[in-house]
Amino acid sequence: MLLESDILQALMQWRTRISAAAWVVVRDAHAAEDIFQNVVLKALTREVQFANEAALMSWAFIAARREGLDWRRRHHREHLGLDAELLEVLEAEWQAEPARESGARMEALQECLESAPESARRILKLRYYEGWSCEEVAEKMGLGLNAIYKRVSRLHETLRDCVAGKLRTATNLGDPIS
Amino acid sequence: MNPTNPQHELLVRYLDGATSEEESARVVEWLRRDADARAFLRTLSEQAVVVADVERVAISREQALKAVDAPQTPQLETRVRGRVPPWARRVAVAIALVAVSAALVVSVRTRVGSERILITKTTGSSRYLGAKGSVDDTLTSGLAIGVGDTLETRSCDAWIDLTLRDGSTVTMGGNSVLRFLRDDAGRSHFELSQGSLWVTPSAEPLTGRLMIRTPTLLAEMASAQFDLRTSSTESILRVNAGSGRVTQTLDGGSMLVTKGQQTHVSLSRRHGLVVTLQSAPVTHWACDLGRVPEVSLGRWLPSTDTQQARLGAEPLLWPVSEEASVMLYAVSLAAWKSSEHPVLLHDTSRIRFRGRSARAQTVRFGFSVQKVRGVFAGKFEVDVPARALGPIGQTWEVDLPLTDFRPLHPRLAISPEGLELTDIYALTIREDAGLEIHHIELVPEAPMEPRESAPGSGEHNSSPRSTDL
Repeated sequence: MLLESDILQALMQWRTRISAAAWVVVRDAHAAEDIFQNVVLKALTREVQFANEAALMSWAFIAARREGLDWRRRHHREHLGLDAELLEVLEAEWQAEPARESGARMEALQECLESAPESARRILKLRYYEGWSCEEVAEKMGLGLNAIYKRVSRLHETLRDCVAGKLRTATNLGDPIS
Repeated sequence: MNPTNPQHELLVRYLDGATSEEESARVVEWLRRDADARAFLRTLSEQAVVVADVERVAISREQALKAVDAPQTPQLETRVRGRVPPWARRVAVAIALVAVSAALVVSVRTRVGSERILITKTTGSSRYLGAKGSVDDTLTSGLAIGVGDTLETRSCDAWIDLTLRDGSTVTMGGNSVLRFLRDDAGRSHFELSQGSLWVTPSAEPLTGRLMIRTPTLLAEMASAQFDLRTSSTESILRVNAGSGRVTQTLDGGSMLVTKGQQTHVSLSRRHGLVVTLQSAPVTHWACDLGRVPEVSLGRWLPSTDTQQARLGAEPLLWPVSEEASVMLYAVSLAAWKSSEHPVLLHDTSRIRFRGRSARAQTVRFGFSVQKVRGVFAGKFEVDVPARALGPIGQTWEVDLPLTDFRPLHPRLAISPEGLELTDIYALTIREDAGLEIHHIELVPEAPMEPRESAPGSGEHNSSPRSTDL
């Protein structure tokens, strides 16, 4: 059985993935963080024990999804989101990735973000940190809505490629980012 | 520039809630049958939450650099459009509160070896004692310390920020001694033999464990934001986010301490380890000198027929620059040692000192503060001339409105309003005036009627008066 400290450490290792799974449901980064914190609290205070990390993660993704759906109901956003079956597939794919691999990817992602041009960071900040819609971001940036969709889409692709490049470099050097 | 994948663009529009029914159905179907599409969605959502994390840290770094004396509801309140639950904001602030150097995490990791810790900020008088006997009184940021090294902050307004290899930040408070220990399990392992520290975990997903020993407890924390104060006989650990396990040195008893809880572990306590909810702050506090066996600075004097507890000033060599020092004769107390509750200050409060001087000398009264459940927030002082204290050799009492105290670190806080009292002191400079303190009290509101001022007290608005024995 996992001890509380093991549970906490494991959840923190999976933090980005669980938060991201919640984000897919609620599409709000702060609400996703909120949900992750609630999942941690529930995991530490619930009476049922976890036999191993896989059991904990399976429970955590389900708990995050339920919290997310509840949040959506409370915020009258039921119309948003994917169906349960698709969410389960995404969660399974998240769980299939080793924690270490995911950790290195998140670290590389932070590096890529921090080295991104100011204008790119501003768009991402407006969209995901401040929670504005793309239309509102377009207004603030003085750009057309379609241009914002293209730029946001391209930024995600660029970040993905940047992360992949860093991971490849680290692997080639035999010194994984950790 | 490569064109964007139109399906990715459609997904971005879908997540923005801007697709038609037909387009939404197309996106869902695409996600259902295409693993690459799902991989892109997972990537995009991870990027979204990491963007928010990075921005939180960047904003708190900006706040720390501006060092605005804001209550713990900073700019996030206005920048995030009212959609964040208050406690989530607190968590975000807690995660990044001391994060002046959090953005340096990645570069720190690459520069510092597995058994080195980087000093990222140092303020005030501090000392490095190397494991092999070297001594350095000129600590600067950018230095790395290794296993066995000890850091000392030598005044109540000194502090040091350390960045651990996982990006977590440890802030040493004033008058603290911290030693970095070896840990074969890969944890960051410290011994805090006296003083205080605050720990803010990394906002990164991979955060290591932290182990801290004090004379009375062993705390093993995982991704927790907490503060710890200790003396040779007691420790208080308060957890503001996350959790950790605390083991009492005395009997090996162990308990989990989680967010919002605290534990007070004392060698003299007969009962076992107890975890309680963090105490609510109080605005009235009277330091019972008779119940404070340890003081930060001062020596106990023999009791007299009329005065049981007499705390006399002791000399302290105060470094004012790298070359010069000045001798102080000081009494200093930590508020937490005589109060179960955080002591909260308001501008309308007054501090009452009762004591005695053997020689005519201006007495400097002061206190240091921290943000509530946060880090050092400044120091405030006021000088009271000897003539305002009354006849030499007689007991005097001064009531000093907090508004009379001048901030020594106005960049951190120009007023003590809403801050937590940490240390309180009285001293004379260069000459030993035989200063002794009998009583200290924080009175929450100004008196309804003005007190009669002592002769010569017009240099400030306080109401010092002398009291015959």
